[in-house]
Amino acid sequence: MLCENCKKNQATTYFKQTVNGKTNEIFLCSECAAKAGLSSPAPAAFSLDDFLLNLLGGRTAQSEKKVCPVCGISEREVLDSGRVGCGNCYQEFSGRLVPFIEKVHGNKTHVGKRPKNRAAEISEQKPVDPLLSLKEKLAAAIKAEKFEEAAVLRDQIRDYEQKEQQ
Amino acid sequence: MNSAVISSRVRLARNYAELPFVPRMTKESKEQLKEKLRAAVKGSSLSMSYIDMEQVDDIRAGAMVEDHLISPEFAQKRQGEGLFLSEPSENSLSVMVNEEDHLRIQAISEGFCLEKTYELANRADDLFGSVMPYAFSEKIGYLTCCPTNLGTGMRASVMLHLPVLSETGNINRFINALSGLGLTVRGLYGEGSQPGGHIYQLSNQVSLGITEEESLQRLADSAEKIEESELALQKKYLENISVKDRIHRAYGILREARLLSSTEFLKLVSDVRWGILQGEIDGDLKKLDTLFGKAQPYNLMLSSQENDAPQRDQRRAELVRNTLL
Repeated sequence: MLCENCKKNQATTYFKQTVNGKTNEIFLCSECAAKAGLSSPAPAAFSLDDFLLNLLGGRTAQSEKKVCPVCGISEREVLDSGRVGCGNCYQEFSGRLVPFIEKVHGNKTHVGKRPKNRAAEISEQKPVDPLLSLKEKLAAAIKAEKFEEAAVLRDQIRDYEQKEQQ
Repeated sequence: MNSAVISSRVRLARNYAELPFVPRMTKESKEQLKEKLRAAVKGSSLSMSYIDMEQVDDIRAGAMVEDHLISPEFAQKRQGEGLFLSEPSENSLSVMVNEEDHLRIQAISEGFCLEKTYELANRADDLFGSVMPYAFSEKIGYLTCCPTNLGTGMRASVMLHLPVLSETGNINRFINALSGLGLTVRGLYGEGSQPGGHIYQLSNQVSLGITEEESLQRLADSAEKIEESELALQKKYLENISVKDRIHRAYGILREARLLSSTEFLKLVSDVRWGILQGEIDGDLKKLDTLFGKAQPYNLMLSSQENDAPQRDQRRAELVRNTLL
């Protein structure tokens, strides 16, 4: 099995944690595991948040260039620091942030308090990342064991990623 | 009511939609935000004083950290930061401006009362939210600088005194089980496997996909279970005469010592605390708990103007004696 972070080396480290009733598993190569501060055996006071924040820093050619048009922060800076520059960053970099958010919280939808006087809030645009929505559909298809549908979606994702790279 | 829970805390992370988040703000925009909030609080029902952190010296900032009013990071930076503070009381409110997020609204109460503490923070949240619209998304909730705080932006915690679970190593059983519930436990003072004073902080780790009420309930339920287990163990251990002796000796030293280092103080006060809780020692737990903050180094420096460690140890012993008389 290939490392889920760099997708290049063979995975040698397996990490599992249950958060909010949902179990997260991750397979990493020794290089990425070391980068994430996950030596073997895992230290006693091990924080999944720190671990995942470290992993966020994985480099891709796209993340070097992408910049938030509202605050000017680059995706690179967000991934390195684990901090966004403004509210819009969550839409702008949703492709990288959403999987991370889901891993940390074991969930991706807010169900708590909403600000009073919501009408005064800025109008909200739903994130429109086609790749992200395809990946979400793929995850759902696998979960529902609809493997034919999943195969189609997997090909669509591959095509999309290839186009992006070109 | 006497409890293994020393205090309850609720912190809400909030940002304003119209501004870049703190790491991307200029000095001027930080100043503007502080001024705007200052004017808003002045004309409101919240009775809070304002402190410009740039005017605060190291000792006072350190004492605020020991009292859990501000974070260590906030105390260290002190550039472009502001602080709103309510009068010290059983329930206090502090609002850090320009920490990692525009606002860190924090309510702290003595004892075990998460619901009431949340209500206090919630009221302040509504007021600060009326100044300008918050950065909020229907999908992922309150937008925070770090994605780990998304959703409710809430971190609720209870400070627990767990001497027997800690000494016997049983605490590790709970630590493992709690991560499955989206909760974490960490030692509060000192480092190493057994935190100084055996004081632990239990808090929620997850803030997205869970309501504030549910999160508080989960935390309260777990704290209750841990407390129950701790109290049962305490009772059992006290049947042992050498344990009983240790506790009374600790009380004797605290009441008579003329020099007390921070480490020795934490060790002894821990023994006395559970002695009182179990009715073995006749003392006032509420008074004793105030010492956890007041006998810390910066608080002592602030109250006695003593900067040398040996002098501080003398002041600490004096303070403890006077409190336990």
